[in-house]
Amino acid sequence: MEEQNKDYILECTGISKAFGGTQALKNVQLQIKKGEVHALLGENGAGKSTLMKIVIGLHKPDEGEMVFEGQRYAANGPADALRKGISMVHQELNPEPHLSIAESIFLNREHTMKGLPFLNKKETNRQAGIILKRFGIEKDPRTLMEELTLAEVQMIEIIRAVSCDARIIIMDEPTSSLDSEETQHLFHTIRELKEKGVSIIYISHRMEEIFEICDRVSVFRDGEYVNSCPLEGVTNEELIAMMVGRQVKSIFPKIECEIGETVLKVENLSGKGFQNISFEVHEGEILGISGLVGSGRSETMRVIFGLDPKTGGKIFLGGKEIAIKSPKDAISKGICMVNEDRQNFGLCLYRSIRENISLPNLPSRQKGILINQRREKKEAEEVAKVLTVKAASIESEAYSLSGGNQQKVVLSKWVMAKPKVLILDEPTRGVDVGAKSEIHTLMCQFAAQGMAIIMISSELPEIMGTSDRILIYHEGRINGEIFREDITTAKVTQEDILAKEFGQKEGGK
Amino acid sequence: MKQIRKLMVLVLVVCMVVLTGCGGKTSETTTNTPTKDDATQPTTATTDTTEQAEPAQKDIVVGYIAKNTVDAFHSTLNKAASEKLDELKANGTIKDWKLLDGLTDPVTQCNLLEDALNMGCNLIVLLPAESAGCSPILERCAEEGVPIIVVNSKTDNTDELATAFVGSDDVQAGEMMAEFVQKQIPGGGGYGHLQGIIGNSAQIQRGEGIHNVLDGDSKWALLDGAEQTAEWQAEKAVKFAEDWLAKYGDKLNAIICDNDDMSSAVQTAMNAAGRSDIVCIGVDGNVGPMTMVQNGELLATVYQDGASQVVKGIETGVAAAQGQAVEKSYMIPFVLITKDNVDQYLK
Amino acid sequence: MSRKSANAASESIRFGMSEIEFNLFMRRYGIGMVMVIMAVILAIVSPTFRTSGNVISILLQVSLNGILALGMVFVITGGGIDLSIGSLLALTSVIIGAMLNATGSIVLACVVSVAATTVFGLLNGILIAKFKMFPFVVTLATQLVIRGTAYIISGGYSQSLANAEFKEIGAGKLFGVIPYPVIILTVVAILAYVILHWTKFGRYVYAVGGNKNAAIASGVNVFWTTAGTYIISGFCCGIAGIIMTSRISAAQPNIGVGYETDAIAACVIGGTSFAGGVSTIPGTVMGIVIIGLIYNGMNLVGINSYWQTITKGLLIIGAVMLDMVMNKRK
Repeated sequence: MEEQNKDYILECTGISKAFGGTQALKNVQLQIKKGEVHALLGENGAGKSTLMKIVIGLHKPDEGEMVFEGQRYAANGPADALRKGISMVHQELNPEPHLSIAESIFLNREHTMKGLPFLNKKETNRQAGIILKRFGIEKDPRTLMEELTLAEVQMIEIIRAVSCDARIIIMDEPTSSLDSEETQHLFHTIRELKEKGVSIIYISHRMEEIFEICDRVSVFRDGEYVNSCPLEGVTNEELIAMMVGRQVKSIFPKIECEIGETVLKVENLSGKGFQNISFEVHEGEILGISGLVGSGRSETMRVIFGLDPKTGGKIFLGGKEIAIKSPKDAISKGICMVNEDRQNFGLCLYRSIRENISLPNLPSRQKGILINQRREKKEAEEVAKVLTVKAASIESEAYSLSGGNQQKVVLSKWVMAKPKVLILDEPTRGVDVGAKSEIHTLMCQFAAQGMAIIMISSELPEIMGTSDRILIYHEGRINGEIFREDITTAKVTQEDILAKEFGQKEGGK
Repeated sequence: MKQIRKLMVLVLVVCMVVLTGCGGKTSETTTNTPTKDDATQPTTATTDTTEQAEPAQKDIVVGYIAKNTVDAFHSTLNKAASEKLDELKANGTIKDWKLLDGLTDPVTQCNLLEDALNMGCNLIVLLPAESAGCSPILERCAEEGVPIIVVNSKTDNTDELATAFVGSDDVQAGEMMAEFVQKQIPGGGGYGHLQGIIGNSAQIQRGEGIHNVLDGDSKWALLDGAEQTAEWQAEKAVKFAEDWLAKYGDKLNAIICDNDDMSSAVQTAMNAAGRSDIVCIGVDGNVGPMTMVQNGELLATVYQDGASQVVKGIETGVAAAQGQAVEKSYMIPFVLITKDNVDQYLK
Repeated sequence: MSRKSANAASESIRFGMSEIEFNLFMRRYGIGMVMVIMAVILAIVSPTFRTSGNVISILLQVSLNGILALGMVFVITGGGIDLSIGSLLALTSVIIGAMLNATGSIVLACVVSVAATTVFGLLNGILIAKFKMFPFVVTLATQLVIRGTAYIISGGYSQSLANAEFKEIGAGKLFGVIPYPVIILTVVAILAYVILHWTKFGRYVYAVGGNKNAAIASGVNVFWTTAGTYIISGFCCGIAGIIMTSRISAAQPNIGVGYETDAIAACVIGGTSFAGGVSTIPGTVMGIVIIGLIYNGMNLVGINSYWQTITKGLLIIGAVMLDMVMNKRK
């Protein structure tokens, strides 16, 4: 390890953090210099966000120490971190819409009248006006936050951080909702802050931006620190090579099976977050979909399943065009989806396993107007057994199960529905290694029975190990298609896929 | 964590047991008192139930079903009743008595009657919450052969089924208010009328009395839209009165209210608006309005002698239960309270 | 909160059953034990309480609130609240009065009044499910609309109903022993049990109340499920209103104020989670009986009504705490 260096304003060493059984960070380090813009780079789930949450005190590290401005540092939540001089501007901004600009800037440190517990609005507005002017923003400090554009809201957040005398500002995907002009304005502000000696930690997936604005970069992979280097003199390819490293091991027992007729076909489908997507998936095929979070992959599937409306394009099932207005339509036509957000879209946590499994399957399991309870119980037990759900009883409530078993319950309910197309969005997220491999085996079995499977995953080895074909999304469009032969013959590597996820054009290898 | 959960469950169960247990203790004190006073009388459960079947003359148990225990007027009534009943219990005229709170709801009162009968009450004193809705109580008493005295306001079937009614003639109260207004402003003018809850017998009859007098008086006219229900509530009454004042100005000369909670509040509002010449009057004789009369802020109020009603009602009921003949109806007269006689009635 | 592996905890045994079974037992029947303890204490303290007459009169007294609570439990389970039930009682009452006056037909009067309350239930449901308005606000508002309608129909006056046959609904007894309202309550409870626990609709109610997004993603029609709960509540109000009108044999527009409090209290005491998605009909019935015991028991032992109110409040808090503790909710 390097010596304590006076150049560094923030030094994190040996940070580890586990959630349940998953090791999110393993002995990670990070050094930030005063007045630099430092990029954090890594795939989804590489540990960047977890590390930042530790820095601003949202999580407590299991091990490791942090030194900030030469002193040992630990924050007790974002407010405390801000007081100590570290601030974070989140990717999803949620301002209080009914506060004015001035009130937002001085939130939690309001000006009060001398000796009285009343707010001094005049003073607050005056001070805010001065600060706004300093940043060249021509807005009345009394303007309500809800009237601002996203870029402006972000600006206010940054101003708030600076006005709190923050020496480090963490920006998480700050440009994701900005247009190019707004982005340039943001970069201008970043350069100004840099001159004032403020350090910026910049998290982004947009390589060109990182090369444009950042001085140094730290790369993470699988919860581990890989390397840090100045951006000058490093190439795009070298960075991607650093991010990739996980091996395609034999934990993915791919069962090869006959690929049949086209089941689902999508033509020029558009919706919120994606445009003109066309693909098809066949009987017995596992279609992998890869891409960064926010690239439009989940959004496409939500539209196909009827959770969100489409803005254009056509969906064909078995050669016939179909209209899907709600998940109910999709399910009745044989399209089922395991959502990436299990807690929100997958389970009723306080109901039993049996009820969760049978919920979408009740219409066909009725005796007159009543539920055929005996059949329901029998079938639920059978399918739970096939999927090896581990629970005390089928009557146990879903919340009492582990993540992996919860996921198997979600899978069970769709298996019981015997769909033609099964969409799986991050099917192994938050699932332990054993259950993960069981889920992969099950997927292959379903495919062998003739189901068409679409799997979204952020884990490259998973997607490369299980898919017959892979589509790569980049910013709402398909940016490449890869076949299984290319992977098994090592013609295509993880680096190639990741490069495409990060926007590299076809053939630009 | 697990331990804490177990502990909390335990604490809760104990709490609930203690809560019901508290009831147990109070009941012991109340049921024990008669045992001490009437040491000769066996007072156990068996007598309770036999009583119901064949009421012995001496073992009178009174079920007093109050209209409610929250408004000022009925609190006074309930207090007078409690004192009277305690006195009767102390001298051995009655064995015991129960106060049951009707929560101003006829259905609750119907339920309470069943409780009273189950507890062995063989004389019911009822202050009805509703003229129509409380009728089944009288039918039920007739069925069980239990004497029932209706106090203060009548149910629709009081004349046929009640052992006796003790109250005041609310038509008289309405007439008294109207006549007072006539006397105060001989030249006549326009008036407003703030009613109680519609359907209540006091509301109907007081209104009848007012109209009896003023409808035939060519000098007085009910202002257009100035007859509204303020549901006995002072703040609602004031809102109406202020609207009327704004609308009619000098044409508004008097506001007659179905009770004096409303009239006193309205008078205060009128005085504050510089219109103390508007005559406001109501019925009941609650402490607040009476004090205002004493201080000269309110000209008059019509006193309903609720305490006398309920005391007379209890006396009548006990007499009837003892087998004496009683009259079907006793009327306690209203009294017009002005500055001259207020001290006599304001205790 | 950490998720425990379910089969890891089964080692500790108490009362001859495993920890899980014990928890499940307490969660389902804990409130039943409270009910039994209350009854036992009352039986010891008050000799009158033990008489069969009193038991029947408790059942008669709870029948009204019971039917309302059985409607309310659907609404709360589906994640809503219905504050309009008191007004719906009044509406039923005045419609019956008007219909009996106009036609003299009891059947017609009952059918029309129940139809009216059901339609208002549907209206609540549409406003809440279709326009995504807050149940609290919607029913607070419709409550006023319905009350006003009742006043208009009745002209503001209450009216005695002389129809002796109609009176029988509330006052009559089967075999001279069991009052008809108690029988109606029993039938409603059985129907509620079947609908909530044995039908597709009932499952959907649990799903929508428990996790609306998951319900949508499982193909549940959230609109009709939500609207259905309010329709059921409206229907129950109609039935309860008939009994109430018959018991007081009067048509009154001002009746039923505050009845939603006891109905909600019965649900909550019976283990219905205000967050939605958790409830049982047997639990609700126990909640109904417990409220009846509070009123009856406290009257029998001579505690004044102020304390009844306090006890009811404390019991609701206790029940909610019990629910949280038992279900390990945050």
